[in-house]
Amino acid sequence: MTTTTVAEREDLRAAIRGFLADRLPESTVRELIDTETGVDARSWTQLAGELGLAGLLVPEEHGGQGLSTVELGIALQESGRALLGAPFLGSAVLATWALVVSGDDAAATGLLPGLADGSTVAALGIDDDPQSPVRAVPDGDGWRLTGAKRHVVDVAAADTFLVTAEVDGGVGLFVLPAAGDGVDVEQTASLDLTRRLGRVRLADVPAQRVGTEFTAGLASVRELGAFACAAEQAGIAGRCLEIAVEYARTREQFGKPIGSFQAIKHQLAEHLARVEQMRAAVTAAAAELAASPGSAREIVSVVKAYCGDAGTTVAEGLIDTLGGIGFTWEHVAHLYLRRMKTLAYLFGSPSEHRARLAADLGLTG
Amino acid sequence: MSTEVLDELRGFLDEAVPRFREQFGEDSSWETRIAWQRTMAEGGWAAPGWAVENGGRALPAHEVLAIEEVTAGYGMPPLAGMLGLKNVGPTLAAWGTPEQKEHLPRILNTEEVWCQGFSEPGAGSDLAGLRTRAVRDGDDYVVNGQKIWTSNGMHATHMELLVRTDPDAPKHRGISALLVDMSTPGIEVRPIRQINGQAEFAEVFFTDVRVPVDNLLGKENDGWNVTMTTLGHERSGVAIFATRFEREVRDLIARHRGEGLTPVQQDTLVRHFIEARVVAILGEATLSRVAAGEQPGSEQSVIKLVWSEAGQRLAATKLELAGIDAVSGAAPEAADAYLSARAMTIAAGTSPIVKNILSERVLGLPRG
Repeated sequence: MTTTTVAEREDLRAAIRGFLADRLPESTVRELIDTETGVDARSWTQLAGELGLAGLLVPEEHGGQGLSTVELGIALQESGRALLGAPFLGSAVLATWALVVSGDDAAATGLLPGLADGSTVAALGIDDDPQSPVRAVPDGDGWRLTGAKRHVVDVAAADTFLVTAEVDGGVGLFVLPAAGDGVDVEQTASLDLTRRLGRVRLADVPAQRVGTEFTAGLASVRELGAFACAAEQAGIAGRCLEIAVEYARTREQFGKPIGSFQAIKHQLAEHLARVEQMRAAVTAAAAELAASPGSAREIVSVVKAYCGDAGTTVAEGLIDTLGGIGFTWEHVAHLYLRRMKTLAYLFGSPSEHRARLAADLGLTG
Repeated sequence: MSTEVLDELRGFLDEAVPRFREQFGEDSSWETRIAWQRTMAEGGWAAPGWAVENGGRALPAHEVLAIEEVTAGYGMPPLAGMLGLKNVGPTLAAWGTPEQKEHLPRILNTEEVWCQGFSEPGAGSDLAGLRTRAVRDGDDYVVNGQKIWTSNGMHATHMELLVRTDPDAPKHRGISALLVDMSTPGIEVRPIRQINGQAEFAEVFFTDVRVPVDNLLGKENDGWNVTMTTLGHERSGVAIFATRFEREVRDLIARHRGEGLTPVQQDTLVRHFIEARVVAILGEATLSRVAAGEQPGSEQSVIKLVWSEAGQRLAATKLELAGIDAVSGAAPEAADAYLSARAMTIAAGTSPIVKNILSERVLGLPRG
């Protein structure tokens, strides 16, 4: 794994922020909302190529940067901040990590270089529709899959699907093309307008198995997914606070900037405290996941539960500070609130992570 | 962190603690805390963050924290002269003349116990509005006025006293810091009885108290800068409280494990755990930034705000877990801790003042 210095990490942050400010202004974010996939394919190729974002987690021997959760956390904070409409989370984080931890060299050699340069976009389906969980049956050298996955992140942009299915009492990971016969992709009306979730229905679709037993791999993907959501939330919260502060300094009522009233100041100070804690918690979780992923379970739940609640409060607070203008469709505030709230539920809600902590801390017995 | 230092400390404590316990038992009275500080000072552990020439070990903040954590693990009471060791001593080291720095070894060995004469009845949050007057008369200042909420005031031999030396200057520029011997004629100390019945604070009255001009710390009318040094050390202490807070919550959880808690009680404890873990992370980040020689930013004020409010909620939860015992007199410690916790959002900057500081100095919002 490649390691970076503090200065290099700050350079990475500045490079991503500069790129996204330039290529993905709010007007573009809004245009993407009305497109079929919600993704600007050209920008994603540039993000992948110029900044190497798509290959951030891909090992160097497969054409990536081989970086860790430390750098990933920075990139995710920036993607949240910019409301990035690109399959970063779905393809470069979740699907890529599933392949990396699958231990399947052939699949890694075949797929990771394309994922790293952005020419392949994959989405990962791990959440079964309880009505029709995905079943895998052997078929010659390969398998055939039937069933449905829900809540697939960045579903519309993907050309490749990775899905899990129960095999021999364990979990298997399978890969299949998104455009094949028997594959039906349905985008759901996600609360988040800047990130598409959806359902993938498979009807006797040919697929290749990736690696062998994937139970541990799936657990690792879930931990990384929870961390990734929290990291994006920290970035979103930071931006929400900036917008609120800027407005409070310039908006005048009763002949004064509203930011001179203690009622507003104290709310914003509380949001600052939340933002600083979110950032510190994400940084600590990133370091723990990079150094000893096996013992990161506790910190992952802490950061996911904390950021889910605190981040939502900060995004709601932005609308409070803005007043009426913040309740309009035209203001960006609701796009942040929608993304923040959606992230709170992906990979375990705050209450689900608290329940996990309660069990792990021995309180439920 | 060099493990040799902690190994040396453990070696010292393994030998010193049983010997101390033999003599003092589980007592944690003021006299016992004085004796324990003397023992620690003899081992060179009373102020490991101080410069070597002042009797310390010149260790950075996070190593001092590690030392305090190890020591706390032995279950010993806090050192008596914490204000001298943590706040006044470092201020003397930064601003004192060579003669004034001679107080430092006496602070270490408990010969002197220091308090801080800052707050006044009319100057709490608005500290710079203080009115205790010092008028130059020959080689002395003559001090008249009153201080309040003086921690350890009943035990102190000396005080770092803030006085107004120029009533005509803007309020921050007319303040001076004096080093005062508490046995000087004209000083009267009265305990303040708190809501929990104890008296950890005093009010101190000054009537024509003569303080030698040599005892001026820093320049005349530059006392506000001296004060900022002291308050900076006071506030950096909260980073240490933050990491200690996590251990307190973990201990509470360990005590109630397997007790058949209700789901609501379980969730309450987990919420405390999350709060404590996150504020501890911020505390650790601040300490390592200080250790790397960086100025801590706004984190200390954030920690003060969050830690104090989380601490109050935790105290309320401890009471809740005690149930009816909490109010019937059967769980006096939980009741006392609950009452004591009301001070957390008042002392060392009230929550509203901390929010003002954060919103004006960090967020850049206009003053009201």
